[in-house]
Amino acid sequence: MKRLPIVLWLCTGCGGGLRMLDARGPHVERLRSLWDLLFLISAVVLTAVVLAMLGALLRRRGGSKAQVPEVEAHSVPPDGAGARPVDPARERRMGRVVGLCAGLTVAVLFVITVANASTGAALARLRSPEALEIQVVGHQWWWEFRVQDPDPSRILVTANELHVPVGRPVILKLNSRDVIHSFWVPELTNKRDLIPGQQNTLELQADRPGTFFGQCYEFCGIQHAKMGFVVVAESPEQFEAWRNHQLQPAPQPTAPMAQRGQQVFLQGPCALCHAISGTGAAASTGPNLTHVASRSTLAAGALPFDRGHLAGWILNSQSLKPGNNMPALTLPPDDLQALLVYLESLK
Amino acid sequence: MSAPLPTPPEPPPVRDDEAWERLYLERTWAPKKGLIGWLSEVHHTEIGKRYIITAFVFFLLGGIEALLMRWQLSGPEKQVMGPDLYNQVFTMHGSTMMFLFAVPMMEGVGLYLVPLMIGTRNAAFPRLNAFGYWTYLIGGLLLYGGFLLNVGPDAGWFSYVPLAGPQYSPGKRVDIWAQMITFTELAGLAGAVNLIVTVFKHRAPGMSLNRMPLFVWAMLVKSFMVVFAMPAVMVASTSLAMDRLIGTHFFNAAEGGDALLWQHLFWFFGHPEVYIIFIPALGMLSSILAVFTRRQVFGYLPVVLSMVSIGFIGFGLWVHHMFATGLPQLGQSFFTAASLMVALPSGVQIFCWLATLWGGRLWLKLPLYWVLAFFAVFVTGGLTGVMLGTYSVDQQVHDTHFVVAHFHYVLIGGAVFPLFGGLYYWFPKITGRMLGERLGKWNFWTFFLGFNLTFFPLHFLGMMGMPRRVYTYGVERGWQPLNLLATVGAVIMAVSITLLLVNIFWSLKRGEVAGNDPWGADTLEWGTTSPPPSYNFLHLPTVRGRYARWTAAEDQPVVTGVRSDRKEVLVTRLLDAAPDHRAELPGPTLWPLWVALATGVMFIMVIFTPWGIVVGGVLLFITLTGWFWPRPPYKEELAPEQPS
Amino acid sequence: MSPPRRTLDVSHLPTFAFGHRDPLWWGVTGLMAIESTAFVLMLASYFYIRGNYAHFPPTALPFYVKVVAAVITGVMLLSAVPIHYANRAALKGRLRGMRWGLALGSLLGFVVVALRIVEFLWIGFRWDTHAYGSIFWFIVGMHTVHTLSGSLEDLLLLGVLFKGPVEEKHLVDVHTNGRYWFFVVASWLPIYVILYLDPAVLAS
Repeated sequence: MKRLPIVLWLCTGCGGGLRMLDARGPHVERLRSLWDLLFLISAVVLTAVVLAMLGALLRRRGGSKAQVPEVEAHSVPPDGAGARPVDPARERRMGRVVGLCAGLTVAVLFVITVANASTGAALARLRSPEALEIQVVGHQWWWEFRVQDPDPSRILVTANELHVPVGRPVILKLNSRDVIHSFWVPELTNKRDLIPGQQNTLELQADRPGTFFGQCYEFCGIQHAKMGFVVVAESPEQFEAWRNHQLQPAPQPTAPMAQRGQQVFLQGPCALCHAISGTGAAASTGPNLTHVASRSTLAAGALPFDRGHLAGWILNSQSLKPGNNMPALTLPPDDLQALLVYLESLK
Repeated sequence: MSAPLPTPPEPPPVRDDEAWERLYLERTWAPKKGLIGWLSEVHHTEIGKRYIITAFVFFLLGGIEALLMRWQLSGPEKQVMGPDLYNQVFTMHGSTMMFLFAVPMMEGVGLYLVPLMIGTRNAAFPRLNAFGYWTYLIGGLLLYGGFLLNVGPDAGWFSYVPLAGPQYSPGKRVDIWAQMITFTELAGLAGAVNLIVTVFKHRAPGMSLNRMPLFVWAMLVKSFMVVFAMPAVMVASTSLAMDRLIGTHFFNAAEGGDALLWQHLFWFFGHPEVYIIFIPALGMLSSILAVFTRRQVFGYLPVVLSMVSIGFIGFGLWVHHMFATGLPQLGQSFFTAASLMVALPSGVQIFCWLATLWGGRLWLKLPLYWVLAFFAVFVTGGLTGVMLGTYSVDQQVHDTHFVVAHFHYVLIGGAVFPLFGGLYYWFPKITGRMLGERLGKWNFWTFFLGFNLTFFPLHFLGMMGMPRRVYTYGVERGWQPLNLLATVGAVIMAVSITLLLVNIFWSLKRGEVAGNDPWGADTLEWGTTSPPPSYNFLHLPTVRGRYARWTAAEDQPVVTGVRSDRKEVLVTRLLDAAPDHRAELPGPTLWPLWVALATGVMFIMVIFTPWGIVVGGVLLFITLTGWFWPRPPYKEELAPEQPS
Repeated sequence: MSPPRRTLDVSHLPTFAFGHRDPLWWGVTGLMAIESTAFVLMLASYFYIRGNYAHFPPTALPFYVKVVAAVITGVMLLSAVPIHYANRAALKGRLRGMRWGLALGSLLGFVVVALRIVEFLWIGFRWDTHAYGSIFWFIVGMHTVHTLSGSLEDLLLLGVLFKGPVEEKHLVDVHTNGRYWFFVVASWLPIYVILYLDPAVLAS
């Protein structure tokens, strides 16, 4: 779409792009056209008002305290000393201009109302019965994703990293386990709140493969800032492969180190909050870790997934993401090494 | 059957000798001396000044909090403060600016100016005025006391439940917030009723409703909005406090309550709140425009009607703050249309003011600088407001820094720019001295530059996906350059405010003496001395046109026959301001302070124990009895000393 | 400064006035507007919360409570009579009439408060039982606070009238107070209808 020069300059000049305008799916594309219209209107109106103000400033200077003020003819004092009458012809002219501007305002507002309604209708038309249903549950401060399937054994539970197939409509069912959160991926969707006790829906569709960052947009407590997630849009084949892989239980560790790590996980405090399918750990307070090593981030997008950060997170999550719900653990170095090896094996 | 009543008092002494009159008035209206006198003050200029100064102090505190936030956000992963403190700081900033600065400041300016502008000696309910100020002060001190003790609220200035509820915000932080709301709303309501009645019943003879200055209209509309908006937040904050303190379930979905109910109640207040802040500023702007274009404001009637209709429409669009909560389609369309509708009266006002500029001769003094800047800044905010009011666009930029940019453009552009214009305009009236011009220009240009540098980049940050209320962000987001720019802008704004402070303190001592009317202005306050005496006017004025002093006849009559040996004022009729009767106003008293303290004990004590209701209730009954108990009957009149 | 040539002499005007000529009348009107808004918003919240219940009300109102509420409504309405009488007396400046009216009105007000305590003892659910209980106690409790403060205000005025000396402006005070009491009575009626006469509540 036509990108205005200033926007281009800012995109290239300042590092991050104006992601909201960088539509990667039909929904945001629609919204983008409405945005362009409003941006254009705003630019014209602002320019006109500022020019009118500057025009008056340049052409109508020269007042002073000494200048006799002008008021309506009928209220000019009888002696005529305090004020003189305004020029009625000029007032009439100005009245016509003001009336015209008010009329234009009404027309513009009407255009915006219609454009808004038609955008809403267009978005509604994008809804599809074949959409892939994904449940999104907000937690303080991480995201639970459940890729739904008519077959209950094929419901996929993961956290903080969502894969979607390119070209297929996805419907997100949003809910929260605790406080209000809000879901937005600027390139792919509009925004919707996750409210406890209420189910909201949001549609998205990616037209091209890519990796997008999303995060929580409703202030949700101490770590609102670090409640991020990743959306990976990939070809339907890749998506199916990902889905099938994620549906499998975690591989049983074979190396002794990893086996010991699994013991640490199951016997230590980890299993009180986290689940790893196929091991008996089934708690749902924290993110599901069945395939944690397949994700690119840790701690809801706060850290990259690698051994160093993983170790730091386990030992000292409170200094990396202060106030989060994961308690600090003290593990003997050997146990920690084993746990790290095990977790890294959960591809 | 009926007991006899005392005979009516003697006809009041009418004195035509001006020196005598002045002497009597001075004796009658003189404030009491000493600390007790200071605490028992009820005159509207004094109360208004206290509101203005206190609100300005809170503005500075809120500004310091803003600087801390900008410092923290100037780079990715900065460690100026941790998330816990940051969340308190942004909550404090929002709560301070909305509840402790903007509303009380506008209220204070109104309370100071309105009685002068309509030509009376005091506000209609002087003691209520004092009570309002003390409650406001208690609310402010409570909030900052809590903050200093690390129990500053941390759930944002609109405290969404369930986050602000008992389960997710244990401790006393949110309780302090909720009670602060109750205090400031009480003060707001007291001030609003006072202003409405003062405007309705105490206007100078001849100042019919359609001759009221636009500033007075603005204050009237604002006060009506307060009356109908603030009960909503009091109901909300009381419900929240009860959920937290005595286990009610208003917002607990598990027991039949509803989290969105909070949002409805809060925004039913919260959206009008924006206009409560902004409409008085429009009044200031109209006053300044008339004087510095040397002509009447173009289109008195459309401007008044616009203010009134903004007042009405303002109550119909609260839901656009909740567009992301998943409303039914019909609600989206209705509230989009309502939100857009408010652009029409706002537009009409802008057009009328632009026409005023074009129809007059601009006298380029500092007050006008701020007004001219208003056009650029406020219109920017208004236009992004149209975007946010449009459902589909709001779905994207909602709760990002785009919104932060928008409401700072609207509130600073729409309220603070006119307010600073008003400061330069009315400072001579309040203090008797002019503010310095040179420093004033520096103040203006640095503020204008700093403001735009701070807030314009935030639009782009929002479009880049930066949420509001985050204490930090990762370097990979690419948000650093614009954030750094915004922080530089904030520092420039801080420099600007420092210049303003220097200017104020310098001018208080050394400023040029203003005289009664340095601007050749139209409204009645410029017809008395600067600063005004404790009785405001030697003779109550009469009015024969909209621009009272410009349209006054050479021999415009003044009111006589209002007793000057008692605190008597003239009551006039609502529509045409024809003289109706004379009423006596109460004098200085400590009772409003006691009642405010009793209220304070009640609302602060309930944070810790429900017995606060009982203790506070008893204290309130005792103090209110003292307040309403009639003054002793008059004894013999004492004549003042012979004037020399 | 030369003395002004023309004057508008108002010394012949009275020093008090009843009704909307009186500033206090407007002040109390403002207060009533504020409180009406609060009650309307509380009732709106009631309906909002009601919408969350598939089965409403979650706890039935006991029969006794319905009877007590009806009696309260009756006493409430009855109390308007002596207050009206006091108002008439105030307009005419009859001291005894004002005293009797205020005394009786205040007494009936206290009867309402006492009955309310009985109602709350029998009602069978608390403010922390469920959201219905919360909003119910909130609305009825707030109205009781108004009833109590109105009755206390009657007492206070009665004290002023007995202590004396009574000036004209105290007549205006009595009249204003009476008007506020009418508001307290009138605001009870919609609350009564919505909270107690709702078919679902009645049938429970």
